[in-house]
Parts: sequence; C-alpha cells; structure tokens
Amino acid sequence: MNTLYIVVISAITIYLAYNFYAKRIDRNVIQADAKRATPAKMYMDGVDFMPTNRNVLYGYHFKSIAAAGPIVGVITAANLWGWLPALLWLIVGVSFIGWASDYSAIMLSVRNEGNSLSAISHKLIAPRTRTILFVFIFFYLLLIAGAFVGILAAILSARPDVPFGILMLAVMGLLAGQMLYRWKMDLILVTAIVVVVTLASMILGPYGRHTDADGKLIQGPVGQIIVSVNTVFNNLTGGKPVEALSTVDPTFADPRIPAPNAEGVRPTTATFDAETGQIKTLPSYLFWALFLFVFSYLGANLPIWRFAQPVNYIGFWVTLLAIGLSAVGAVLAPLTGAVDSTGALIGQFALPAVKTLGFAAEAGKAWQPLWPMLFVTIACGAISGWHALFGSIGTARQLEYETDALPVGGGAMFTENTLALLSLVAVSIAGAGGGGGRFAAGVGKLLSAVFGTAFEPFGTALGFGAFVVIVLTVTQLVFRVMRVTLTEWVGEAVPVARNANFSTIFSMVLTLLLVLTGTWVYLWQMFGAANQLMAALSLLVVTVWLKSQKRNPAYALWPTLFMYVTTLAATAVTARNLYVTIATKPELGALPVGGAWAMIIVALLLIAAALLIGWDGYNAYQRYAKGRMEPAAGAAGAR
Amino acid sequence: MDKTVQVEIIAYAPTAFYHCTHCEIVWNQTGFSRNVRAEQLQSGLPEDLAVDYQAVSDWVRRIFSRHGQGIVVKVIDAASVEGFLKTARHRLRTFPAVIVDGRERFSGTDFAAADQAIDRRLRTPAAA
Repeated sequence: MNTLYIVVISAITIYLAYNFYAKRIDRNVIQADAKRATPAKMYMDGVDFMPTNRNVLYGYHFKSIAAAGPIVGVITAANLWGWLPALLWLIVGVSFIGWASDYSAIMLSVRNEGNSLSAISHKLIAPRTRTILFVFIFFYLLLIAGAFVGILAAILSARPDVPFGILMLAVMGLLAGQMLYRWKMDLILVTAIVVVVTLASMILGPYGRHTDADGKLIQGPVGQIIVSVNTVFNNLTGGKPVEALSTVDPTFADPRIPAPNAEGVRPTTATFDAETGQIKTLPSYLFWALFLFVFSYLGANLPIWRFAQPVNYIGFWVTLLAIGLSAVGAVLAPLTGAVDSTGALIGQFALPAVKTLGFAAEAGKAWQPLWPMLFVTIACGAISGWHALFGSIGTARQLEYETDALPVGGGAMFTENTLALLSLVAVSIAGAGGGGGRFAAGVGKLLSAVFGTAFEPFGTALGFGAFVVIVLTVTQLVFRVMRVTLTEWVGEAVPVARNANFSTIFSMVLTLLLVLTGTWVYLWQMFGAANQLMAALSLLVVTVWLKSQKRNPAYALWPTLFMYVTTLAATAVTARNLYVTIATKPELGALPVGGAWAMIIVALLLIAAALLIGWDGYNAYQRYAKGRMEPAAGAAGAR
Repeated sequence: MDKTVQVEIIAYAPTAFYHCTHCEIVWNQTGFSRNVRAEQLQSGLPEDLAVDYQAVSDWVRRIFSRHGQGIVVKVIDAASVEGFLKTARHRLRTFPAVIVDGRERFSGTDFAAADQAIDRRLRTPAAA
C-alpha cells in the first residue's frame, strides 16, 4: 500500500457515500425542502438567528479542524490492529454512521424551530436520565483530560526537542491576546509575529542535534537546555525514579515504554524496567505534567480572549501548515519516489496491514478484540463531530435553506474523516515508534517529501509540535468545562466549589491521579466508549423523532443499536482488562492497583448509566411506535 | 431577479467552544452546556470590544428589519483564518469593518456610511 492509494480510496468513498447514500436520505427520508422556512429566517434577529451562506457555515466548522480525536484514536488503533482495520472502520463508519449523526442533529433542531430538542428528548430524557447523564459527563471529561495529559507529559519528558515550542506557544498566546484585544495592533502583523515565532521555536527544537563518534545522541542548544531542566529535577531524587509512583501499562502504549529492538525485545531504560514491565516515574515527568496543568490552568481561568482563543488561533495555523503540507507530501511521495534519511521509500506503508484481530484472549493478559474495541478506539473521524468553534451561535439557527444541512453538517464530518485518514497515512509510513511519536515521525517523512531529506528532523519536530498543540488546546478547554460543571454540580452543597481556582485545581488533582495510574490506552478506550455512547444516544433521539414523524428510522436506528451494543461491550472488556492485568496483581504496587480499581468502578458506573439510558430510550421509542405521544413519567418536572 | 447585497462584517467576535455535535445535543438536553457556554461568551471579549460587538449586533438587526431578504450578512471573527484572509485582502486596519458587495469598505461603529452604501446598491438595478 502507498499513500497515493489512500488518497484515491478516500476520495472515491467520500464521493460515493455523499452522492449515493447521504443525498438519498436527505431527499427521501428527511425530505429537506429549500422552500420551507428555516428558523434562521423565521426568527431572524441578526444575533442568534441569522441566515448564513452555507459556505460560511461550513467554514465555521472546518476552521476548528484542530481536534485531537481523529489523530489520537487512529494512532492507537493502527498500533493495536494494523492500518487496514482502521482504514475500513474510518470509511464504513463515516459513510453509514458519522455523517448521519451530525447531519441529523442539525436537521432535528431545524425542524424543532432551532430550539433545543426538548419536545422530543424531554420525553426521551426523563429526570432520572438527566441526572445520570450529568454525572456521566463529568467522568467523561475526566477521562479525556487524563488520557491527554498522560500522553503529553510522557512526550514532553521524553523528547527534549518538543517542549520549547510549546512553551513559546503559551508565551505567544498571552502576547497575541494582549496585542490583538488590548493594544489593538494590526492583525496581519500580530499573526505573522506569533505564528512565525511559534513555528520557528518548534522547528528549532532539533537544531544542532547530532550523534558523536560513539554513536551517542548529542542535543543541539535548545534541546540541551531542556535536558538540563530535566536533569535539575531528576537530581532531586539522585536521578532515581519515584518508586511510589511506579506503574504499569499492559498495552505498552505509554510513550515512556521504548519500542522493541531488532530482536523484538523492549530494552530497559531510565523510565522502563523490561524485567518487571514497570514504568518508572522520574521527577522530570511530574514537572512536565505540572507544566501542562499550569498551561491548562491559564486556559481554564483567564478570560477566553486572554489565552484560550489566541492559543487556538495560533494552534490552528500551526496545524493547518503541518497537516496541509503533509497532505501535499502524501500525494508527492509515491509520484517522486522520495526517500527518507534511511533510504526507504516514504510513500510505502511500513506498518503491517493487520497485526492481529485480537479475538483470542489469554489469561492474565490484556484483551483487545477488534470488535468492540476498534469502534471505541477510533471515535472522531468515523463517527463523531468536530470541535466547532465560532462566534456565539449554533448552526441550526443559521441555516439559510434546509438543503444546506447536508453540505454543512455531513460535509464537515467527511472533512474530519479526511484528517483521520491523513493521520493514518502518517502513522503507517513511520514504522517504528509509539503513540504521538509515530505520528510525528510520519509527518516528518511527509514534509521531507516536500522540502527534501534534510528537513526530516525538523518536520518530525513540527509533527510533535502540531500533535501536542492539537491535544493541548482541547485539554485546556476540557478543564474549563470541568471547572464550570463542578461549580454548578456541587456548588450549592459545597460552597468552596464555587471558587474557580478551587474547582480547577480539584479537577486537576483528580486528573493527575488518573494519569499516574499509567494506563493510557485504557483511559482512552473508556473515553471513547463514553463518547460513542453519547453518539448512540444522539442517534436514538433522531430515531425517536423520525418515528414520531412517521418516517423510516432505519438509517439512524441500526447505527444506534450498533453503537449502543458496541459501547457496552467495549466498556466491559476494558473493565475486564483492568481487572486481570492490574487490579488482581498487588505486586505491581499500590498506585496502579488502586487506580485500576477506581477505573473499574467508573466503567461499571458507565455501564449502569448506559443500561438505564437505553431502557428510557427504548420506552420512548415504543411509545411512538404505538402512537402514544404523552411525555415520559415524571418528565414534566424536568423542564 | 431581486437584487441582493452582500454585507460582510469583520469584527472581534466572542468565542464559544463546541464539542462533538452529538455530545452537544445530549449536553444541551441536560442543561449542561448552558452555563458552560454562557461563561465562555461572557469572558470572550474585553469590555470595550464587547460593546463594539453589541453595536454590530444591533446594526445587523436594524438592517435586517429594513432590508429583509435584500441583504446577505456574514459576520466573520477577525481572529480566525477567514478573518485574517479578509483583512489582508481588503487591507483592513481597524475593526469592526464592513465590506459591502466585496467592494466598499467602512470601519468603526458608526455604520451610517455603510447604510448609505447598502441603500445605494439596493437601488441600483440588478443585472439581468
């Protein structure tokens, strides 16, 4: 397989799915009608409700392409099962489920006067379900934050060429906020300064790096500063790991675990004991985790214009350049026969098509069967939305014509799928390395196909930078949401939770505890399951609505059932993995064992919540199937 | 054929961050997203720029009530890629800026000149 085939396959798939399936549903089932007045026209107020050209609306969604999901999930899945299962799920998922979810969500709102879906989901989401969902969402956010901080702290502590660029991103973010919104400086000038400085800082990371006569890697000036910082912190314990924080990752996905050598054996390093399988936590790891928390604290507590928005603005340019140029490299590499620094063809996939299907479970070992685990590992990109980011109003209130919903909602989902496919290409050509490292190596190779072989280390640094930026911009906002949620949730009963600083720090402490358990992939898969359960629930709302409108709900019903059953099964498998690989092995240490039990409890809560929500949804569907339109029992009190 | 005038407004807009569409549906129904979004929008702009944005909103409402389907309005956040490209293309220096039919440019919160330009263009007969 080469990169050009992926480009061609994805282009054909998107064309066929969009034109022969999505348009058919739009025309025959939803019956989008350009003559029907949309809420934007009916309630036009120039603020919330405003008819907007579909190209502009699409742009609103596309500009927030910097989402972590389509990259992180694909990297993890390709590592676990190979590139082919990931490719098939991305293609099938987006063609039959992904676009349907996002498009339907918009149409449902449009047909309900652009308001919330309360007329439908009020009946579906009874008071009990609402409370369950509230708790569920908090754990969901906790899982995202834990998974993201875990992988980022490991990258920053293991790669001296990466942190400088991220540090400068924070500085440039603060500066951009001040220059744009306070000093009202020229937008073009400010953008040029902050984006160029951030990009240059990322690319400077590996500058001057070389291997000496003994084959030892010598960092360049920037990398050396970071190494010195790491050394200062590690000297606090005499260079030894903090034994109490030793942990394990049975999936071997933690970036601190080295890749197997030529003999297929993982060597012992400063952060990994090959004999016991334990991951050693050095003080430098804790320092970089703390750095991430400080970064996120700024994003969570400062006014949006002061930090979160400027960082996202800069991050978007960085991502756009890294991803856009990688896409050019993916097309060029097979055509020009470009080779990397080792002389290997860049356009060829180094990752096996299928590593394993994983159905055979071994006692005491992690079990990663293709079904259901693939379908929660890759969420965004196949079925999920995107992190839409725009000025104040929602799409459903802006559609000029009903017929714009498909190109806007469905089209943006297909775009996100393209980003996921590009991530798959980057990961698959990289060969060695794990997690974000494989993605960055792939980006480095693709960029070297554009700029020449000598650019590969700088391209890799940019790949790391883009990856960290993508994940970090989401992480800071997750903490912001958690902070507000915690205040709202327990602020009445626990007044101190109304304090923004307290609720942010409390959320961060909970996240740190999860991070220190070391089970990164388990965290990610539980997050994926929680995310997909919400996708199933959203599709369930659509299904019930279609039933209430006496339309054929099949295109939403089958994906609902598939995602619901898959999600439940995946959560159960994750709980099983935690139990057999960590929780029942006290010799691994108190931290991983305690963390595993905590996550098992979270998994069981998610399963219980899913069952209750499913039951309520089933009852709502039955009510409509029987033609009864009264609300769920007790629903009146939920308004 | 009815004449329509395109009005593009480039301004620093308050930013709210949204999650997946399906998650947003569920969050919306639980009431979860209401305070989250409100908090973000409240701190989306410094006070003076928030006043400017309010002036933009009020003006948009006025021109909609005056011209209805005769105008197509786009509000573009200056601090976005699209805003950057528009700023570069039209050599804008200050915000809010109004671009009428892609040709006439106006800056500031006194929209009288932009109003006149819209009126003038609406009076001009549409090309067949």
